[in-house]
Amino acid sequence: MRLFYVGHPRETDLALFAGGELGPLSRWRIEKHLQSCEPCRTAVADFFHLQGDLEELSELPSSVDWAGMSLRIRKAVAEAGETQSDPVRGRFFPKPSAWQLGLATAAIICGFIVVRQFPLPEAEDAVITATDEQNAVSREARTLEGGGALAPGGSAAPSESFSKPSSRDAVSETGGRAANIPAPSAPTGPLGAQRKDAAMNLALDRGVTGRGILREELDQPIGGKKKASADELRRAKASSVPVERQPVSQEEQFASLGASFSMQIAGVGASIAPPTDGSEIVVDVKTDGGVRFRRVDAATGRITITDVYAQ
Amino acid sequence: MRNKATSVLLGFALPAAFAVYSLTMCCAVQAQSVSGPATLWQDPAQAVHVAIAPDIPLSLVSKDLSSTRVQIMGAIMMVDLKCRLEVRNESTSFLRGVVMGVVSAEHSPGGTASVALPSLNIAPDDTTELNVELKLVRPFPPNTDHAVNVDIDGALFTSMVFRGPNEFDSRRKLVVWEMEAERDRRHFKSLLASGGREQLATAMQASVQRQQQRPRLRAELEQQLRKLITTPRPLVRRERRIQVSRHHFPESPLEIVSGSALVEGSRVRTPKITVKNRSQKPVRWYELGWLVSDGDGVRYTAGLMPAPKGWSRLAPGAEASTQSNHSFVLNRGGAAGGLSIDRMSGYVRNVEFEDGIVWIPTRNDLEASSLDRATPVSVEEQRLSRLYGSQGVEAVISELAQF
Repeated sequence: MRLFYVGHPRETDLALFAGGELGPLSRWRIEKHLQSCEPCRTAVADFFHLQGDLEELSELPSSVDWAGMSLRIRKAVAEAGETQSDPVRGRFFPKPSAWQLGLATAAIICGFIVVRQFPLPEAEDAVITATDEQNAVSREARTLEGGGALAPGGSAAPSESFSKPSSRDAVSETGGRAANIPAPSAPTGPLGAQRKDAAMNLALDRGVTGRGILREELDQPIGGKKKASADELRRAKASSVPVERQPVSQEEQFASLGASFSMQIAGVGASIAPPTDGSEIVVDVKTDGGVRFRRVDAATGRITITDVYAQ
Repeated sequence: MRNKATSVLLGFALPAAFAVYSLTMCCAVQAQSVSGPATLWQDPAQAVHVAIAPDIPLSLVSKDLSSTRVQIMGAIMMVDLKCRLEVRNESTSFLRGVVMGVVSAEHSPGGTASVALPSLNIAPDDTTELNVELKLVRPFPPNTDHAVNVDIDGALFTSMVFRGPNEFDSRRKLVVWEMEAERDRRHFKSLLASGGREQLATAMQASVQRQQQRPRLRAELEQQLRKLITTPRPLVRRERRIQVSRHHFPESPLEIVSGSALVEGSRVRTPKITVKNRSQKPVRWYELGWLVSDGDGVRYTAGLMPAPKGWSRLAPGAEASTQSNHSFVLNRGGAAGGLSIDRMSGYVRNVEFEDGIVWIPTRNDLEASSLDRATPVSVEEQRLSRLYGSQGVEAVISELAQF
């Protein structure tokens, strides 16, 4: 396998890429290729926008006798004298060369090393909660600097200038800038942090955090509408039609996932816990990709508004 | 002979070298990180850091992280954050609202969030409980001292006095909610003054009914695979372009000039709305509301449309466009299912001028355009109506008397 494409990728690979079904290396190769290939880019966009076809696929009549159809196909193939034989198997599973064996060995060694370096949690019991001592009450009786107490200001105190909502400047009572507030501990190396976050995004894309499980769960019927079965999805994939996850409402996600960590609201990595106490939640999707939750606590009636940012 | 040597080189020497290199890199990464053992990070006290900026007149009375759970799976850290803080109002004014910023991974989607508690009324020296419940996923090991930082980003006191770093735009959000609260309290107080408790009770019942009957829509963001392939295309199958009509508010400093979106059934792509600043002051920030109607003329709130990213200000007379490259699927849920979008409209939810003054629509604006039936009520109205539902009109009257 070449690192870069000399010609064009196969159409099947483009379809799988559009469906997010490729592995990281293949995806990276195709991304590299797409950067300089307009026709392939168009093809991928076409596949992506063909996702509506899935809805049509999902509405296949339930009365189709798939088992019978499968038998009939097998029978027809057998009659045509085409049976699976060793040569076919040999074509799909050629004898590995020495360097391929070696590379596989190296990969196993590397995998072992990585697992040893970053061990998986032993069990659910391994989760540690803070002890009472660690959560001891820390009283920080703080007085206002300069002994000043808040005085009514008349109107909203303006800040001197505006950059973006992420301004770190504190707004002083008099309208000017106050001393910079110490930011949350910054990464020791910004590039390192970005690389880690990029790895995190990749992991999220690939389902390391359970998105694979999520996808399985999301493929359950929604709102009474029949969805494609696993076999139908497999067939759809085989016929180069990209299989894209059906969007699922927040409430469906709450219902189907329970307290699962893998819950991904609108494709972002943070979410709020599904309400178990009868609290009401209203979800607003923002056009910039963020999500806003308004939660009314059933017991206290207090309203909490959580904004999860896309970036 | 040469072939054999090449085979040996490719088959064993290179993979072995690769393995040694990988081992070295792993060791280097491990040594470079300040993470320490994974079990250390599973301790919530180590993983979660809580802080209050020095200029915020709130003091931390207690913090409880005992229900927080941290799980580490390979290079992924999952934090089920359940943080309960008790803070004391150290100022001489009433505390009206608090916003807490939660940062787990600054550069990842969903790595930052803010948790706001508006519509508070905490007297000086009184304490209140602030709860943060979020599920976070971040890379492991962190390069920082703490995996999750919870900071109080801002606090609003009486007379709209704001304190805090304002990294999450807390000031504008708190001011908007407080202005909406004042507007609605004023409305209910006037009803009480003119028609007594009966009229207030009637208004509360109407509010509860309106909240229950408001047509709800589930707006879902479609998965964005790659920016590369989500570039809007002019010709896509059955899509049609729908123009966005505007809800005109006479006093609004911004006017919706135009807008459109590509619609196909219940799917909306690339909504775009252009606004014009018709005031005399530069605008720092604005937020639009976005509604859709089905064939029966029923209007639904589809979502929020904040000002475009990266912009600085909108000068008087200037225009700005908010466009999203995302694709949304609107669903009524349950048996009603998908929505056939017929029309779309937009309205101005709030505007913040460069001098910090915030504009919100009046109740008359909302009622005149029937938006009060399609849009969610304010946080304060929701709070008061719940109070009415649980404790009756007397509790609402006594609550209104406190402001």
